[in-house]
Amino acid sequence: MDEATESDGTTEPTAGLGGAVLDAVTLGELLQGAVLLARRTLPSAHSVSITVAEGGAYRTSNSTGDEALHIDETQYRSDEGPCLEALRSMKQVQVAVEPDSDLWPRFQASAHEKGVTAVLSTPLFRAPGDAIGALNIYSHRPAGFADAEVGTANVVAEQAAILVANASALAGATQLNDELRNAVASREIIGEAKGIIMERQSCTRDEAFEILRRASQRENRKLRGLAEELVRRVETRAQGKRSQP
Amino acid sequence: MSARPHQIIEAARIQAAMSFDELWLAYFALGGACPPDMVRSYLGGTGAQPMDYDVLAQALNERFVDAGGNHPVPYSDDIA
Repeated sequence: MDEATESDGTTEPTAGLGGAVLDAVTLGELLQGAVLLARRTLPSAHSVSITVAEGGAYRTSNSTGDEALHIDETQYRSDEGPCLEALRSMKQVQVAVEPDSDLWPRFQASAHEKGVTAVLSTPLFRAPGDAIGALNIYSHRPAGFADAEVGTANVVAEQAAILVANASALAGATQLNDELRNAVASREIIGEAKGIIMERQSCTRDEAFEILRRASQRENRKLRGLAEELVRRVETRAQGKRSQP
Repeated sequence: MSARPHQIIEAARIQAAMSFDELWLAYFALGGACPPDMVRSYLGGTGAQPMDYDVLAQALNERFVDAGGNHPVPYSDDIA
């Protein structure tokens, strides 16, 4: 539970890195927060969702409930609608729901059935020209969205995009926790070993890695194991010194 | 010796049956500094070679060590 006490406090300088990365483990919660924030701050918002595009398929990663989820899924199934249009055109799409419209009829029927009158879908960009999802806002008000709401949607979408970009890079939110902890622990121990080598050999960080990876190759062992051994040896020696009168 | 470094890495990744995310996480765990997007575009042949190319090679080699191999992926000084 408490990493700082586990390793007797010697990892203090690198503990900050672990903290920063582990905070990202709660990406799912942060995304849900973005969805709830949009609903709270946009007066017209009745329901909100986030669509994520992965390998040519679409899914709703977060939503405020069944309404948004249902209309999203109708769009994915029929391969049409404002959410997909925003993703593909990489432009914000605002559309009034008109059940007789020829534009995206299956989406229109599904939205109308839920009492939705207007939709605002804003693309989520990983980088310019690289849309990875959309923030969808469904309204029940007849007048559609005010300009200020469109602006707010852009701000929320920007924040959500950063989260989605990280989530898809690291995938699998529940599994992520352990894997990421493990990766961070490995990174820290290797960082410590590099620090020891740098000090001893008066070399750069890259040269220290080079020394470790050559040893790994020579002994056909993993770098982490070698790093752990090195750090343990130094610790044991330091403890020995300290216990001497 | 005509394959370029990024092609060697990508071919090794496929041979090791590692997903891109797995490779990036292993690289990160070994101290790799580049974000996923940079590594991905490098492997796809559109991005610059990461400064820490050898960390990427090491991440793959460790997978091969697990499978009973011994560091088949060349490091930068083997290629140069």
